[in-house]
Amino acid sequence: VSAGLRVLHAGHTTFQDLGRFGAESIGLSVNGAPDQLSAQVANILVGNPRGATHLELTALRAEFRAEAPLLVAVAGAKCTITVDGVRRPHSSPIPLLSGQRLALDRIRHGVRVSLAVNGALATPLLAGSAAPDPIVGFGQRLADGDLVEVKTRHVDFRHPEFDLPVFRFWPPSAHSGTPGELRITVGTETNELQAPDTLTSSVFAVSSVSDYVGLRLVGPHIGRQTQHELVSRGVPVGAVELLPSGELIVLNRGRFVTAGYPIVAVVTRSSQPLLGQATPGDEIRFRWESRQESVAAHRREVAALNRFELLVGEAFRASGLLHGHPDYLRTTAPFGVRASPDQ
Amino acid sequence: MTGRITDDRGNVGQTPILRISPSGDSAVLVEASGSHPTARWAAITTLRRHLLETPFTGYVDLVSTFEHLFVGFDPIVTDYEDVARTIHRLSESPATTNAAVVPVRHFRVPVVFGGSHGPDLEELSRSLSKTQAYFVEALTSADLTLGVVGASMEPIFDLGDSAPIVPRRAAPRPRVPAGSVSLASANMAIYPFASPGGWQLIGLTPLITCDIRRDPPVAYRPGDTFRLFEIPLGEWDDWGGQPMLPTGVAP
Repeated sequence: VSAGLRVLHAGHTTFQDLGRFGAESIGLSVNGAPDQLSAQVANILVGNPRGATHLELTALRAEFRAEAPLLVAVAGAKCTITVDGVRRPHSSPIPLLSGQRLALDRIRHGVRVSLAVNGALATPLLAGSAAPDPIVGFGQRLADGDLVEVKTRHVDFRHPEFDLPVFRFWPPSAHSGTPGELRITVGTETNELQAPDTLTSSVFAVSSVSDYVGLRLVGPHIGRQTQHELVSRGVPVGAVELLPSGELIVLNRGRFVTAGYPIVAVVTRSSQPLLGQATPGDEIRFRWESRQESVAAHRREVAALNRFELLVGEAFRASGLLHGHPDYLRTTAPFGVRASPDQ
Repeated sequence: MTGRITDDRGNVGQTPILRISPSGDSAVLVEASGSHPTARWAAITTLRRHLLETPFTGYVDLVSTFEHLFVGFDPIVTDYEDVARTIHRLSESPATTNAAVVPVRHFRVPVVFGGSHGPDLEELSRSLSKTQAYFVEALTSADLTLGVVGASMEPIFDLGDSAPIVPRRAAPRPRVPAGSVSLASANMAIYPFASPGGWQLIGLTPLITCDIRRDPPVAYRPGDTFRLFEIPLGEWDDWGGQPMLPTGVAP
């Protein structure tokens, strides 16, 4: 069934997914949802594959009108969700009747909101992904009046459990109010730090000179033992770059190579969703973690997501809300996540 | 890059040494050292090709530059030690060390040099005491091997030991036009997209370097050869808007 979501007030909304996997070898950054956990949670809550294309709101209020019955869910930063003016829960499936207005307002405790819609969104793809890549000019912001086309199996559905929020899930969350503590593990030039403890004994503030490529931090001067420039090389998401000025930049998913700066630490996989929600003015503390510890934390997070997906699937089957996952959906297999057997 | 580079023991022209180290919890960085720049690049590029052709279980993606290969992996499926062992084994296999024959594509790239299309050529020639024709000759007289596909799919070439070392502009331009042929250090690059940039602009190609509506958006890969040739401004429209494709491939 072809249906749609009309954009009444776009705010800052784009198409998004988990990223452009396999395209770094041709020179395209992975990009994708800075908060990978929320993107997956939102999709799970509408019965989609975790890597399905969804909408991502950044900081600003947005409003939509369902042009057909749709099932949506909101995850990520906290926000005030209303349907025709009536409050609806965060991190929960929300059925919309044709003509109903969905508004997301007062985005707080983070900056990015994942809005998933059951079904496949019609979007242009670059190298298999809908994720915006501002450097190459792919993926425009939605505009007021746009129609987001959706192929969905969701049909008009009124369920008493959805009018009252008793059908609640408690998704895995990386959020602790503010980004707070980011765990870091060793980078390729950690041994060039004059004192590794200065990273963990100080508080850093996210500067307003920050974007999808990286967050610049304001904090104490960080010393380096040498000043030699490094030859350009690929760097991981979460890489903490030390500039000659003694300042730090934490690289986000739009990063590609370092232009001569050492990587003195790397934000761990399980802390990256918090990194993706960081916003200018936030305070950040670092804590060192071994690679083994950070992989173990990532395993626990993936296991929690797997359990959550099973639980939501059970609830869908029990309530008859969805008759299984649409099989025509495009799947982007995210890091560390394999499709569950019923997908 | 200045002249021939030797390793710690002063060896020149030896097989490069590959060092593998963890880069966060989900990636490794392979660094080639010792030997000659061309040999280091060849070792990295050959390893790149092998990983793309036969990815290991848990392989996610890679970024190759002149002396480094960054390889991302899924830490749920594999771990650093396994990935390091696999890469080490690959780098020692005869197929990798013997630089097996790779199908190389060839690209012919028309360029308008100097003037408003290469606004830095005149000043650059003066500051390095060369003629403008010297730079045109240096870039068009031989095939150039594509070294690295950089960020936003930028093709970057190492012009070799004999190339003049070109300084970056003191102040980067806020907007460099797409298709700009540019120099910095001993490297030449073509800007695929209009973007800020600090390299010296010496020419402009009317070809579309990269088309994000195509999949893949670029046709070239490291190891392919490029031949630049000068065209007069009057021929711009004959080429304008054509995609940059290998010779023998219809658009």
